[in-house]
Amino acid sequence: MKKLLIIIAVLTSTASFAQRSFWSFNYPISFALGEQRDFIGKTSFRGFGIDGRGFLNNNISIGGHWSWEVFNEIKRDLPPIPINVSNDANIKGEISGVQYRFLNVMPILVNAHYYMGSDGAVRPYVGLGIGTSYVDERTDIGLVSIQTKTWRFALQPEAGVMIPFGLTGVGANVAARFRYAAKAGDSLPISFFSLSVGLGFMN
Amino acid sequence: MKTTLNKPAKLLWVLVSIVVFQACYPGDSIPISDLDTVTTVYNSDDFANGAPTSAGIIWQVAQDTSRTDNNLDYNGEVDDEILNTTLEELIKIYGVDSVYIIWGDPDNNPDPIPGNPNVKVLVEDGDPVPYIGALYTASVILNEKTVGIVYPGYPWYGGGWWGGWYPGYPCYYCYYPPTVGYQKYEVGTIVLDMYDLAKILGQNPIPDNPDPSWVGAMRGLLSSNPESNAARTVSGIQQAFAQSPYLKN
Repeated sequence: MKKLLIIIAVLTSTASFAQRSFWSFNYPISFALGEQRDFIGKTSFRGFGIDGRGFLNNNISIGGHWSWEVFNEIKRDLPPIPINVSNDANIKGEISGVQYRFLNVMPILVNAHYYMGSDGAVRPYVGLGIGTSYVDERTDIGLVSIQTKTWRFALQPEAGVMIPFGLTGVGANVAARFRYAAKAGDSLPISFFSLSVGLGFMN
Repeated sequence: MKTTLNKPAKLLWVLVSIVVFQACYPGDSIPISDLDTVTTVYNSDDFANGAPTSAGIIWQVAQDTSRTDNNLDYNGEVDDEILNTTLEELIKIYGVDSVYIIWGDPDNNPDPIPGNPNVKVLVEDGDPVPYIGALYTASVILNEKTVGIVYPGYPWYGGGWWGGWYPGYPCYYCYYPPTVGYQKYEVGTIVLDMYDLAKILGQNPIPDNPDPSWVGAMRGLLSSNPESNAARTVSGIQQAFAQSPYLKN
């Protein structure tokens, strides 16, 4: 308990010491990696993300991240997949058809970043986010829909750069992120690489 | 007063616009053929000791014509594709000498014309009956509540073709009307049923409505686009057999 109070005191004191914040609104393009490619390998051009960070000092920030990315792919000529058609184990069924696959990934993370450079200049940074990710996997075959929704442990290392427009606190935020959401049940682990571009507001 | 956006606001507006326009969910425009599905269901018990080695196909696509509220106006447009594609697949499985067409009208030739002239046509009340291990039937679903009635008007009772199987059993097959085994299909579905006759004959009492050993349901093949129905019917039936390798020993 004493340790916890000390941590809270340190965090609140440093937070009040840090007067600056960094908000960014980003558009990610995401590339599936690893086992996720077995489900959907196509690049995602649909997504949006928000980052909010508070500086502890000139080089370190802590904050939060939320984003939403949608992958989709139409799969043809796949082998049939088993379906449950009866409580009787001897009655077996399979369905085949064009598969419309969708993957919605929504990470909600706390993060910490280390920044290089100085105020008003180009500021490269590296960081790590940790938290949870909501994953909605859906396969539509004709009018049959097979869907799983899970909350998973999530991890997100990233590297980026904030490029200010002149002397304003506004600039372009470019970041490369590796997103990982752990395996849940029979579902595959999620891993993809995101290249984000967006607007950053640093003050 | 004219309102102008500063540079960052314009950029943010462009960014939001990209996201909004990209946000249309994929699959908003789906070709009808992409909604076709082929579902096969089988009783693995019936194939545990091997599959039947010969087959007969009822040469008629059954439909429930007794209703006046059918959801699909079907007048046999793809009967030819249904029956002849199934026939081709049966020949692949059982061989041309072990497949029989069962035709119920002694006064007329089979309609549609069988695609393979080497397959023997068995005419009801006319031909001696060979051994047939599997009986295949085809039907189309015209109403979402279509059940059971697959082959109306066929004289299953009181003798007929089936009565000739064994002397002393004048109505040996009377209890095997080739009914649809599963009761709920979507409109436009083509259903193939396979009955293992040896299994059915081995039951005591012989069931009035035996379960099929295999069902192939091709959903969505009959659409409002007749030009694509025929090709999709052929590929759907071929897929049903392709994903059912257990039909062949």
